[in-house]
Amino acid sequence: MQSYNINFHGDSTLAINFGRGIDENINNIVHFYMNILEKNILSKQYILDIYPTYNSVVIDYDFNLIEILKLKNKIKKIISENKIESIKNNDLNKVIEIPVNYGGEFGPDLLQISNSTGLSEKEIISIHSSKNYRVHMLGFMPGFPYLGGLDKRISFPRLTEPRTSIPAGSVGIAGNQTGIYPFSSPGGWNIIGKTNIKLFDINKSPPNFIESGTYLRFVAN
Amino acid sequence: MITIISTGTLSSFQDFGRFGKKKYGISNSGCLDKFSFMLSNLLCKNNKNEASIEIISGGFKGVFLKEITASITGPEGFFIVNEKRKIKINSSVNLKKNDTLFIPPNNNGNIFYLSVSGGFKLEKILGSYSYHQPSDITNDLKIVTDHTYLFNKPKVIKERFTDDIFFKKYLDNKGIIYINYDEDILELHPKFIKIFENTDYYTSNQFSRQGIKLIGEKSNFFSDQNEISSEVSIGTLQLPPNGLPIILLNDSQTTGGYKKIGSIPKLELSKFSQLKPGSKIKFKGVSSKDSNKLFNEMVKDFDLISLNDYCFYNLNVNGGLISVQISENNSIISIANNEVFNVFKE
Repeated sequence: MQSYNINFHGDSTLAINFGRGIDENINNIVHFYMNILEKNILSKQYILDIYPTYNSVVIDYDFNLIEILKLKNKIKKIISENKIESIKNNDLNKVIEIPVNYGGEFGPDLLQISNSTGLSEKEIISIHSSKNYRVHMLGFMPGFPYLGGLDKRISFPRLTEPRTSIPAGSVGIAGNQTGIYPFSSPGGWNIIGKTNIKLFDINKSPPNFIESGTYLRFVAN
Repeated sequence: MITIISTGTLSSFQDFGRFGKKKYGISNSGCLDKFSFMLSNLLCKNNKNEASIEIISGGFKGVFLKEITASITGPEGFFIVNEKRKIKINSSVNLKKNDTLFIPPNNNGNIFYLSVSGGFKLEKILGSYSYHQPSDITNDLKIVTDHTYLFNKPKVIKERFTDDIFFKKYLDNKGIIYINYDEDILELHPKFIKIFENTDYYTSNQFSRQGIKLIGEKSNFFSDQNEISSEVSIGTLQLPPNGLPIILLNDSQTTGGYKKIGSIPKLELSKFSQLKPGSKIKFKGVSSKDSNKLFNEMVKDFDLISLNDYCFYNLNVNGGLISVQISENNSIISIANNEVFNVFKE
């Protein structure tokens, strides 16, 4: 029996939580049920959105069109009828390479992380670009990939006050997460580098360059 | 057609928003004050969800190149046609070729809607006419100075206004904003809730379609936080380590990593987005069951809004020009000269 709990957030959002923290196994379960729920209820009028996070499937609904209890029972039924036998990670070998200019004007926070961790900038770059990162979800802004598996040595807390503008393509670190800003935006991540790849293009279908459930690797220019 | 002379702070096309795209990281967008938006379409006899121009903070001016009925809705005040006719907000007006329309900034609120009968001629982007501020994917839906925007099926209908109690009842700031707390806050942090609800907060001038920052006494309850990013929605109240709340609005990110306290219910979102910088508010917890019930009453009340026909006169009195807007039962709706604008209540 798959264990999970359903938490309501505000009057129009619920999250089906399959675990805590950042964990590839939990994220696999999330994507499994995300696909099943999309197939079963996304077309219903009372469903506004279904999307994954690190450890939950989130549903936005219209409370005028369905009672909360009814929706909860519907979700429970769908989950109980679809058991996970084994999740094959078909995308395990699919790795997208992202070229990055690290440090200097492209990564204004690299020096601060170096000063605080005692690692040289070169070491931080080498650690950051030495592994494949799982794309757990897209969020925050169009095409922004949330990547798991950041090496603990270069984990670094968010800025206490977000910056008002960060350039498109910036590569950042927040806690034990790393990611890329597809558009210029305000944000609280520490910026260590910048890529020239366009992560989101409205004229392409799907418009996102990186898909959740795949892997990516940073390559230092 | 309308040619834009001045956009004000930010003017953009909006409808109810864009749904089903959060898995790509695209938030809903859509009108910030849903009820003023719907009223503007109602006055123009459009569909409820017809794209309108949303004007933030006023200062918008345009010239009409074709005859049409247009409506302006939003906070109580006036708009000006041809630099002399002052007309009460929440009215529609028939405009002729070369007529100008100006919406001045207003002390009573932030957000105005301009609809035209028969709608604007636009292309949907990812299923919606709503401009999304944080990305450049919907730039064609941003209103730009000197650009001309086309009408779809321009119509001239009766000029109408509303004086309905609805907007006073639901959109005026009475100093209390309801919040649906998250379950963990309710269960684990009753002390925080007590202090939070006793704190006077003020809306700051850091206001955008993405969110509003509040100022007030800083909370030190969640100063040490390292949350992993999770879902956020329109109305989510976050408390960053600096202890000052941020309320996310329609163009916010789809996920965020600051501590979530709860969410401003739909019931309050129109009122909240109309709060001028410096407005004093206190929060009060409400169950989503209760706020949903109140919201449903609000929707029912909106459906009962009465619209009335009116006539407009420009009078020459002692060499000065006076604008008078008179309803069909001969009561004065508004009266204005160059210095003063008065709204009369029946």
